[in-house]
Amino acid sequence: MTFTRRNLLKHSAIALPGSMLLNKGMSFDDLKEAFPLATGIDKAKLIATAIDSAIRAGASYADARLTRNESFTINSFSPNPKQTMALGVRALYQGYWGFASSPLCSEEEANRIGESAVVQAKVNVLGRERQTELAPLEISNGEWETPVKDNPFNIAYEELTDFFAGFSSYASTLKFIKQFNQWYEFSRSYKDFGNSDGQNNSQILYWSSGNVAFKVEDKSIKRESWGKVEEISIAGKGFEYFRDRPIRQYLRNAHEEALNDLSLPMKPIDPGRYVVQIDQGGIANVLQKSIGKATEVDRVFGFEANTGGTSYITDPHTMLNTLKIGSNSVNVWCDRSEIGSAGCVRWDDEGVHPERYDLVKDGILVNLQTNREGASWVKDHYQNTQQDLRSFGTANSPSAMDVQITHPSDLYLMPSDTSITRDNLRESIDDGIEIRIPDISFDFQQITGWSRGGKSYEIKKGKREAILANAGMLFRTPELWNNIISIGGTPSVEYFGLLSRKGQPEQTIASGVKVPPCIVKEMTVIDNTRKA
Amino acid sequence: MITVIEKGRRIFSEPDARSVIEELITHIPAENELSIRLGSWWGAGQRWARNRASLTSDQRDITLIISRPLSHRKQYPLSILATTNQIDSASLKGIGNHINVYFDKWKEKVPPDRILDVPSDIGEGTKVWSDATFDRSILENAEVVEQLTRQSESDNLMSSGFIGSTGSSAMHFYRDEWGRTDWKWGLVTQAECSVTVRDRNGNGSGWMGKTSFDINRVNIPELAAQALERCKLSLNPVRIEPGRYQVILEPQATAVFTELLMGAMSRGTPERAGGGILFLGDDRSIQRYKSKLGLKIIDERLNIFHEPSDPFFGSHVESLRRRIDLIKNGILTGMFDDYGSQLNEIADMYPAFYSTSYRMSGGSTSIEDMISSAKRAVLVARITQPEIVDPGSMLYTGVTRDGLWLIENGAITKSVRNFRWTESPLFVMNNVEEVGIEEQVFEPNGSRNPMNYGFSNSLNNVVVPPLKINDFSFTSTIDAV
Repeated sequence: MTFTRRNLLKHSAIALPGSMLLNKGMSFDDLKEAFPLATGIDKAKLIATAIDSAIRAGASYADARLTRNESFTINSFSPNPKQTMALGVRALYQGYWGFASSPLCSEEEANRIGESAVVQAKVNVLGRERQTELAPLEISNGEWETPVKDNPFNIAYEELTDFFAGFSSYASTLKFIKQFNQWYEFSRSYKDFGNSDGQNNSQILYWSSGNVAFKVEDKSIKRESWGKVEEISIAGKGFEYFRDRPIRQYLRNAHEEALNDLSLPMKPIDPGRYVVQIDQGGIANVLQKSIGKATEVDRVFGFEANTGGTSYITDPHTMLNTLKIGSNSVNVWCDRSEIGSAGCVRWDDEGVHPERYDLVKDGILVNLQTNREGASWVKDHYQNTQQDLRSFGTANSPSAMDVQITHPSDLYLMPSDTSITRDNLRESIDDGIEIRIPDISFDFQQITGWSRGGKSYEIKKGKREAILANAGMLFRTPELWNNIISIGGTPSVEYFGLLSRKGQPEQTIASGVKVPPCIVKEMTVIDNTRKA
Repeated sequence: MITVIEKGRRIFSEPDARSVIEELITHIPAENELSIRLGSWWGAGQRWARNRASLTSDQRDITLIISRPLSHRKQYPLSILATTNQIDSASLKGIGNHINVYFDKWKEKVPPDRILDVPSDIGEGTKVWSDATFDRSILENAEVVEQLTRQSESDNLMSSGFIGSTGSSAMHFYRDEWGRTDWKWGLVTQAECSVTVRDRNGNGSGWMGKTSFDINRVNIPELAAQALERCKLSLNPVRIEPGRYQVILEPQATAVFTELLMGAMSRGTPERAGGGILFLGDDRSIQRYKSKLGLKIIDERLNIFHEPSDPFFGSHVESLRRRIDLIKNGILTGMFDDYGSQLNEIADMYPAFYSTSYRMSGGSTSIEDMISSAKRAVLVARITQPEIVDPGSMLYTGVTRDGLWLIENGAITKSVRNFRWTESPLFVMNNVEEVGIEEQVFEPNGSRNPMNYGFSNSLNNVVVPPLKINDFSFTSTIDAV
């Protein structure tokens, strides 16, 4: 097939809407008639009814959440709008939790599920005590909305599709482009929360997400390569996430790298130990899995043992403030209050206002990611470190249909106090390997990790000399973080929105990770396709 | 009009669902093709950890998906689609109007390339139902959990796990552009239980799990007892060298490789998903990949098939009225087709369908016999996290979990540390030493969306045997226990 703009548009998922731009457009919010219940509910009354019902049934504590999740995609003719509502009640009875949820948002149903949550909890009172202590909650009622500059739900769908179709057109002008795929989604969640302690809050959260990837092919040398616009993932922003950013420049950069790949020789990897530069995307994944997941309080205490797994933090009472996770230059903190990050909220799903807190300081584990119940499990740690006993605000769930559990907070790895970029880091390597855009996996205690896919380059005297086929890293969490010899500076920090899954039934949520690239010494590099 | 699922009724009855759809249809012009899927779902969950119940839950949901197809072009089917879980009259009218507005905007702009007599994507009605599962009392679950956690507590071990019961109903209405209509109705239950017992110091872990449409086929006390026993047997594992070992894959471990193989069996077209190691290249004249249908791909003792009367799959499976052989005596004889084939002659020769319920026929050797006949081998309880490293050879990597034991001279001699493995399901199933007695494994339905299992095509009822495999590749040790 000859590559022409026409063919590209034909093969680009969203090309057609842009090429058939309508004269008059409608935004998602013009569809109010399609989802009339969205505006006709007394949310505060429903929540109060559900909580009252649970307390009347005997609950010592109850909270209720009402969520309305809306989304639309830009990958086909219509926005394929989706709207779901859910009312969920969690009740505590003699230390046992019960939960009930429903899509039906009526007072009758609120009464039913409030009572049902207590019934669920009560059945477990069979003679043995379960101690449940909730960390104190500072009441902070109010309303909040993600500050977005351009609300995508108020912009005509056709305007959005035209904007994104422009990238297809632009891609068609780039050399050797063989396949160009892009996909985008905008979502919004109305979250209302109340509990029997008197907390009541209402917030509207926005997310914009996308994926842009392509292939290049030089038929004269029968070689293919690929590229990805890493700057696009999922963020707590509006349409400005795309409109105000130089997407075409990102695309050009990725394309340039892919073309450069075509000019490099391919070499098999010689397994061994190397100095390895891991890019921001790789570090973000390593950080979220090796430190983010491993410090979730419910994982640490075995509540995920039957599904996602546990943690290498096997004795938190001893390991907190003593476990050396990384070198002195490794500093990691959590912050769900940073505007624009995928996990940013004003209140978590227990009504807690999250603030920044340290996880790893000078390489030492200093905190766990806690919710209200989990904080009490490490009460001694809070006392020993002169911290008030409190939740760090990790409670989250995709909607009120699911019970709230601890999910990873937005994570940050401190860059070095330099202006070192990723290119500068590479230039500092005399003989080593650079790993780009890898898939990172860990075992079920987040202790042993390995990478697959992505791109691996042989680096000689600071330059990419060859592509190493099928190279992968194999590492242990503490060794990787202790073997870091160089961390990029502030200009090298990049943001990634990552999905994570846990729970039974499984829940998926998004959170942000902001990291610089790093150089690691003595990294084991293997040939992923080599069997024993 | 239904505005509330009546007290005590957790999912729609057939008249409930039909009345909702009939009301929605009134908002769509009668001459247009239309697809409406309405599902209702109920799930009860009993979760426990650290020897105490940690959450008991009751969840209900509704899914309504309405779709008006614009084009059936093979490569780029186009539909106007909207999804909600609200079914009051105002919502039905609103979502119907939305679909109409977008349909009218685009109908004149879509190339007239309709293909006549395209099969609809509608599934056949299904009833895979167990009253025992749907009526399972939460108190009964709580009492079972109380007993099994008391046992683990008295053994100074930590038990965690999940018991789940779900019931769902789904109706699919389809109307073609000539006004012919089709109604399908599905009822499905699923029960699941999985138990992990761990040593308090993290030096051992045992797991057992099972799923079935019928909770009476999931023996929870037995699973808990086995998980506890396995934890004790797995204590203080020792490191042995990675390398090639003869392995005995318990059914749960076998299922990982059969699932990978099944995942490669989608026919696909040259332009869409498909291809891979089971294909020989694209044939644009028939818009299909040429596949390895008719060629031997795995050991001749292995057969994979779907049998409607299989007692493990439920007693009233109506969707697949005849037996489908996917692999017969090691020969690839059937493939999935998730994209309506026009090639009926090919479909007749090699029936295409899509189902995740299947059985791999077993042999007569017990796991105990496999162990006693092994000189040096590794018994593998569970394999997780398979991830592709080389699509060309279907090579995956993953880890072992919750029980790995060294067998020497016909007996288990020690618990060993977990491994990362690197293998291809084709290599595994071409190096079969012995085939054991098949049993149903733990394969929970992955989604709560009733559309995904209101019809039988996504029900995970998997029955597979243990396999003794030669030259299995363990590539490195991992630290997790």
